[in-house]
Amino acid sequence: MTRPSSPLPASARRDLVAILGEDAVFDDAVHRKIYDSDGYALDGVTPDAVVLPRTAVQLQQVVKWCVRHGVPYAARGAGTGLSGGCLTLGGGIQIGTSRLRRIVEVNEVDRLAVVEPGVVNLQLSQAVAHLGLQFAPDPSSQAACTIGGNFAENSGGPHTLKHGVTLPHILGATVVQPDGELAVWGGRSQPGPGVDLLGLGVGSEGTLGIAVELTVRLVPTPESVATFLAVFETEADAAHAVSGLIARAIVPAAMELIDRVMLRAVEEAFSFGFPLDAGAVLIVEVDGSARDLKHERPVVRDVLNEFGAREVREASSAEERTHLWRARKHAFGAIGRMSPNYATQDGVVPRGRVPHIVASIAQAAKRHDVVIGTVIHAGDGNIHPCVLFDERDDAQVDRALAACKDILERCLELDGSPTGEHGIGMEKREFMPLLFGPADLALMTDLRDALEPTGLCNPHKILPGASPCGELRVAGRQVAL
Amino acid sequence: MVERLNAQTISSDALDAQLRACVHCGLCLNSCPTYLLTGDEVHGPRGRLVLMANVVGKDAALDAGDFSRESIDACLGCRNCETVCPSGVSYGHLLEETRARLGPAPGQTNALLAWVLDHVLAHPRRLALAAMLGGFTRRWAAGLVPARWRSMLQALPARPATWPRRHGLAASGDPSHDQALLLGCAQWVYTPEVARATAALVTAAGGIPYAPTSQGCCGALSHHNGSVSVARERAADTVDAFAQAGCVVVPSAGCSAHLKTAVPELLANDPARSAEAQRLAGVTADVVEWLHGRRDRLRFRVGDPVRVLYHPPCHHSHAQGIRNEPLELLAMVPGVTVVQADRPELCCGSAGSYSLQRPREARAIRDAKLESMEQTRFDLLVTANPGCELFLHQGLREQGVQVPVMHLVTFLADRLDS
Ligand SMILES: Cc1cc2nc3c(=O)[nH]c(=O)nc-3n(C[C@H](O)[C@H](O)[C@H](O)COP(=O)(O)OP(=O)(O)OC[C@H]3O[C@@H](n4cnc5c(N)ncnc54)[C@H](O)[C@@H]3O)c2cc1C
Ligand code: SF4
Ligand code: SF4
Repeated sequence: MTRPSSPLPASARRDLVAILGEDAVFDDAVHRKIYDSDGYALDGVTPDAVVLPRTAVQLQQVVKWCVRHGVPYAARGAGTGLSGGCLTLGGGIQIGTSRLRRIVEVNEVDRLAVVEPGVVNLQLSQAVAHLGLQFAPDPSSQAACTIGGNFAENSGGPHTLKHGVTLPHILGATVVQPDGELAVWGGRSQPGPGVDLLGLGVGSEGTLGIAVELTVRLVPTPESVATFLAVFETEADAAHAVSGLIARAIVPAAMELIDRVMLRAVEEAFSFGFPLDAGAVLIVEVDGSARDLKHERPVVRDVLNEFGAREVREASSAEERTHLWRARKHAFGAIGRMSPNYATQDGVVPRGRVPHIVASIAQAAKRHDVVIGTVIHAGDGNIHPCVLFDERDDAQVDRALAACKDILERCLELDGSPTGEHGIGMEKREFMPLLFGPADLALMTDLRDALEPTGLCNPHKILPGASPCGELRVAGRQVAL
Repeated sequence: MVERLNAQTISSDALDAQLRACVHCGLCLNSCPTYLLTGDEVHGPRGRLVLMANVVGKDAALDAGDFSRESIDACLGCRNCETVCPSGVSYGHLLEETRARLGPAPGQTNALLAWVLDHVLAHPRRLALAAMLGGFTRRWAAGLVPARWRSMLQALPARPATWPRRHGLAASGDPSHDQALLLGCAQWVYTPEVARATAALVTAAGGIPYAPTSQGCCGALSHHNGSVSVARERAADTVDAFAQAGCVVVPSAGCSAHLKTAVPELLANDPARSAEAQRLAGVTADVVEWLHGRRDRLRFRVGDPVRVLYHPPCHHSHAQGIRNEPLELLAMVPGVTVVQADRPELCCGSAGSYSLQRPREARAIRDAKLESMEQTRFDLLVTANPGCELFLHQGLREQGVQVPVMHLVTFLADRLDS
């Protein structure tokens, strides 16, 4: 079922070079080392080879070749994924989309763009900015991650609170199916009749085929934006303010909670002027027409004050706002300054229970004697605790892992989920039986097997079950998880 | 090899600790011109950091041959990745350490280039002679040159070289008040007007410029190339030439960056010079920075309206954090509209000696840069580093575009209100 990774046999290399050319097929030790991990792993899964097609046709031919020769494969966008999604667990070929980065069409009237899968999220938004449009999903990794990766992970971001995560922003996808044939899911408008294959595809983590072209929705950039930074003495106060805002029927465009540990890291990296003695800050952004804002601005201020904000500042210019978001979005990276290693978790709780999970995270830190820095997409209850540790100290590693586990289990107890937007990939498969009953899992497996009968398209991901020896490495990977 | 490995300036432990700062997030990928060019992570910052750990780090597991050597050699050293890295990875420093451990790139062309950098460039007069000869050869005798060296000859600046002149600058000055100018090597020979303009601007801003006679090349190019011992000699000579200077003004972004950070590091173990190198680093200012600090004394005359496209050198933006100063200086000149290319922060491909070492990649990166400029209309291309200036000038000429290319100081001096 599985085999150790090895460079390509001469005949395989020859075939692939015939399809792609010499400078697109790599099975040397250096490429196999560098492509052995994605956004987090320190340890990884070595692929047999990496191929970098320049056209959709080439990509399809590679998949067909894999099917013909029974070789497993996985798509890789920018490799910023946080759950090992693009790694070829059990050996195989990574098919990179980094050379497929053309914006094929921008249609102002239909408010859509047709892009190749390797187009970088921010690149698209910047390319359509002059039309007053943007691609709404804005994961913190948007400066690097690809639209193909967003599609596969159904990625969210600070601003998807109001606009929704990736799913509603994908109108259609041309996909190389696992059997190597091309399929078109969806189209150029909202879903029509028939089984919603596109809906199934978005978020399937590259296990149902590889998208070679995507049609995405563009939304107008808001007429006006107001961004507030509210400073709280305690994290609990900040968490309660979140519920308070939502109870007032205000849907902010974004609402982010940053705790004390994270504040320190971010401040060190960006010198934004965050108060270091604060328990937590909330970033609240509202957008809309100038009229909407006139109404919402004072309400937001009032609620924040009512819930005990020590100070409420409003970004005074577009530059200040950009700088603030840059600081927030780079929080994960900035934490790298404070600790040699850290494990970022990705859990969800109903947003009314943000205060509960905040308390539980503090308890977990105390119980396991670890430092945890947290950022929370507060509006949708998506928590990202970062547990700091030093991998050279085994005891610390164990304590960090135990803390992670506590927090995720607590999410489940609070009727949430152990992943919000980073995907299950190979990291979190063991949580699936906790989330779903056997009947649900069996149905999902049947569904996948119907759409992916070959067992070669990014196998061993998401669903628990017969796992290859590669899993031996999962324990190692979790260190960096 | 052993000898080269000894050329390192910090311990493996220290290197290892710096490498650990990389959390493998990949946020730097899209900022890297060589990754944008190839789509290959082996040519991206994250991949290069993995290689550094595996080739020169403590857990070295990979061979220093083939692709790893190639990956490190193909890096521009532009440090855009460092600017965007949220984790504070000191990429530039790590790259220099790695290059020091690997030594200059192998191969005859590279050996010739290293020799040129180390022995010709360091002496402006030798460089002038060589450059004149090179220009002559390219024009009249290119066929006589072995094919593998011809690309280097073609990469020579499109401008004729001139004999380095002193432009009437005094050889010494009052250390407590006057400004010592570092005139550079290639800059002095290929764009002599920059020295003249710098002197004029410093004077206009109330300073008194002088140029220590014993100055030569500061060694930045040799250092980038991994010739640590030569770089150390140049650093020592430079420190000696500027001993006692109370203020050093440098009209080349690459040299000012080198003086500020690399020179003190290179001389850290030189008991006779380490303190002086530190002191000098503290009193060194890039000309743009210095002028910006005294901009209230500068007056510019009204000239014809002109759209100036400013290309920020990486040695300003990414090495010294000088970003707005040049734009603000340009905006002071009546009639000037400042424009920038799409993604101005990306390197133009010149990158020290890169354009001579790897002309194919350098040109491809320059083509991408020129393409990003095509979207914008401009009458004049201004930058602040001799490498960028010469390389972009050559690129535009090859495309048949006759837009003038000049150093920021050349433009500003021309518009001074006298
Ligand atoms: C610092 C940091 C911050 C992050 N912040 C967020 C955040 O705020 N929100 C969020 O949701 N995520 C976040 N992520 C996770 C990650 O960036 C997203 O999951 C992103 O969408 C992955 O894109 P990628 O191009 O890097 O994909 P990769 O990591 O290369 O791949 C991810 C998955 O997509 C599949 N895939 C890639 N391309 C295709 C294709 N063309 N067709 C089919 N499948 C494909 C792969 O097989 C894999 O399973 C963050 C990551 C980092 C490192
Ligand atoms: S260098 Fe910085 S931005 Fe790049 S992968 Fe490492 S931590 Fe991330
Ligand atoms: S220094 Fe420049 S070329 Fe080198 S890795 Fe960083 S961004 Fe890429």
